[in-house]
Amino acid sequence: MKYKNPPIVEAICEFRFSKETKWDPTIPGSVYEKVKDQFPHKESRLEQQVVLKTEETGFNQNLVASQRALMLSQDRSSLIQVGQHLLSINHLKPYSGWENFRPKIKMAYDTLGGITKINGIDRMALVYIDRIEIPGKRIELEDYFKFYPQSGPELPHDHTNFMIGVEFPFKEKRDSCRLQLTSAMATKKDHLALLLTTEYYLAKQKSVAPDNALGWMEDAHTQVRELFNGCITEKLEDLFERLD
Amino acid sequence: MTGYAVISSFGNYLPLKTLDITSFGAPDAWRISLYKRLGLRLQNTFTESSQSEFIIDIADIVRNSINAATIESSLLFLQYYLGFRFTNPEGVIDYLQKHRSLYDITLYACILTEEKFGSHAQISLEVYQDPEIDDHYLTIYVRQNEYEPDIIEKIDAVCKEYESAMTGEQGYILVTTDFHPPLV
Repeated sequence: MKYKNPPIVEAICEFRFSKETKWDPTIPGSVYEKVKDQFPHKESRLEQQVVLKTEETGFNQNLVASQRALMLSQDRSSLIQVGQHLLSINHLKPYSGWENFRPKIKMAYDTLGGITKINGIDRMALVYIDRIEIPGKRIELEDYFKFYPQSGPELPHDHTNFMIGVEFPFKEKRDSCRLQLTSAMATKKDHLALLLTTEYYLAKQKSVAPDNALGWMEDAHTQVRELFNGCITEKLEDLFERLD
Repeated sequence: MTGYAVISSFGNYLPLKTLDITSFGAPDAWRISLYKRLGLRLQNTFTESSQSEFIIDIADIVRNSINAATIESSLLFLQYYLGFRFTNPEGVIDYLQKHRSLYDITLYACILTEEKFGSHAQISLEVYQDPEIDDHYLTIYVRQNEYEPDIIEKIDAVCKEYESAMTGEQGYILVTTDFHPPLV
């Protein structure tokens, strides 16, 4: 469904590669050399990663810092991130549709695959973040959503900030999709702002071969779109203004 | 090791996490300061374990990378718990979305400013648009009903602290005052 005011503020496609994929610190620079025509701005950001160590006393997880390379398009509305065994392609608003996002994912994935052989995928995900602002001083969420916080009659009816989430298994639990609805900051007076985050991810490590990763992403997109449609009512769609 | 440990209430995606601040080198020592300060600001609002989860959430310690949800969560935290004002929230969100390497430093600058002025000033996070050249950047305005004589010195002290973390970042954040009365 195409909208005049699409709610998508960010679409993210992320791959985390297994340690069998050879990695070295020159990879981000090599990726940049190949994508710099489309992503000319180069930045870096310190990220934290969970490192799991097996010790005599059991598992120990620590967070360690590592640099991540960010390559941004001229208007900074899309970016590629390359970190240790990680590739992420982000598209910010205005989101121009899957037909435009898909080629960027393919280009980034193929570029990385040309630099180092991808030998396994631990996790991959397709995430859509929708920002929704509803006008009105008092809003009944069930008028706009089919997925919303519901409280029993003994609980206060009014609430301020909230966060709800659910995980749906797919493909016999090989995949999973996390759906979250949370409060956000209203940008207009007397509006209620919400973020709807749909994250479809590969829940079983290495269960999809690297050659099939882009096909998996295509299926993920279909599921995400169906879940989004399942979350919203026609009244909310009216706010987005359907184009077809 | 100083750490925050938490078991997420939400699925197996965020398992037990320990923030190992010893892994941060000297250039990133300010991050330790940020996380500690966040803890202090939240100690009366959340239990210890919830506090850790909240810090991990808004400081993006475990998430894949900064995204729109992380940014929104942080701004909501500034507004709801620390009383920040936003005259143009859409502009701030957009700026941070497009200048992600500035995200943590912005959070740090906000926390430092709130610590210094929070009880006796209105703090507003805005996007300043230069009227003469095509330049815009984030600005934290400190506004008071009656301005303290040493407000500039205090602001300078805040700037000195967070600016040392700004090494080669794209984008900019400034703490200042326009000596206007607080926004109504």
